[in-house]
Amino acid sequence: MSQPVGYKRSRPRYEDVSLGVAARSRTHLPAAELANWLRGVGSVLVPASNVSITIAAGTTKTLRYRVKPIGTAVVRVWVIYARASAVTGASSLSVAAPTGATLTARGVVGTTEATRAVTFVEPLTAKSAAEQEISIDLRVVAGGASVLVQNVMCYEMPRRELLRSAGRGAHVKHNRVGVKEIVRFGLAIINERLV
Amino acid sequence: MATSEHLAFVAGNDSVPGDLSGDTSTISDAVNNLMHLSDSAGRVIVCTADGAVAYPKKSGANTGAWLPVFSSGVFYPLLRDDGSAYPIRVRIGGRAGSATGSVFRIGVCPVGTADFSMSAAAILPNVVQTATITSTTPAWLTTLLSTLVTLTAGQVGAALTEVSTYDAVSSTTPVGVLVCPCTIEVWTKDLVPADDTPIVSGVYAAEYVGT
Repeated sequence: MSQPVGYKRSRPRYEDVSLGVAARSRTHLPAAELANWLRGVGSVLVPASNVSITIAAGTTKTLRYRVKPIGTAVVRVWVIYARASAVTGASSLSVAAPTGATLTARGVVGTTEATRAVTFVEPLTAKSAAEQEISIDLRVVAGGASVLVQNVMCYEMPRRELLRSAGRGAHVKHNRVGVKEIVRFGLAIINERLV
Repeated sequence: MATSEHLAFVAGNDSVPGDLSGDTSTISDAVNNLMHLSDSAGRVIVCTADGAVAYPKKSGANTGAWLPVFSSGVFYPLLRDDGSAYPIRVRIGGRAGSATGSVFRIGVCPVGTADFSMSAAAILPNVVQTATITSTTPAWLTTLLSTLVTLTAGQVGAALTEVSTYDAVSSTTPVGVLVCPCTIEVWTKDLVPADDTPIVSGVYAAEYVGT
């Protein structure tokens, strides 16, 4: 059963947790929603950081990063801030992630135009919270102008919902959410993020 | 300000309680820990190295107007329970175009609003501005008039949009997810239009630890 991931965080009310009084579902519910938000919102794997490399026409540059995903993402987004060496007419930058995958062409503007970031979406074939290498191929089309890649950023796309049956999402129905799930998922998040 | 009761992670929830109910302290600690994790979930969005590369101002006549220098590309900021964005700590590295001076602005802007936000006569809540910079040597600028920018719930609400993604590995069925697409922008302005262009040599932006 799928459990929704909110687009914003929720906020359990401490005043609803009183000594000697059973905590009510309106406390459990936002706590479960908060757990799901934490697990589904996605992290920034590579901040927009300076690479400053010039890629000549007909050549490929592979960038490799060491990252620790949070384990629930199924899509990564790469954002490449690049500019062609030509004044006008620009060039074409083909992108593939991970390295070796099928290249997809993206347009890159020239030196006198306002730079637009190139965005590339990488659907994942498996979820993983393990420390790992992620990579991207950047290839400039043969015969085109060389391209200066200034920045590269990579982040995980937020999830719309998490599968409870897969042990990933806490139940958020009023009459079913429980302390066990909140604590269990809270611990799982701690393990994923802090270990 | 942090929202967790203890302002830190509370140990003790290291075993899974029974199926039926938990005592008040267990619930309180679990809620505290989730809140603390949420408070500290801020992410580094931009981290370019000072002095390693210069971002020349977009070419064209120097008119003394605000002009764009740097854009991070689209990202999705974390949103608080009231609908506003997590505050973002910002820094700029750069140098003036000449000793006469230049000023710099850095801001977080929903997509499509950068032109308005970054060049407005007033400094908006999602933008901060440096004092006049006269040094022509690149360095991190310490004269930002503030170091936090944020988006109000109104700004976020106006920018919320569904983007297409997948919700399972190897899925071929797209789903929509609600996000607030934004960019980190850096703009500069020459105080003397005939000056050489100012240079931005470093940009840093990170979601604030705490809410």
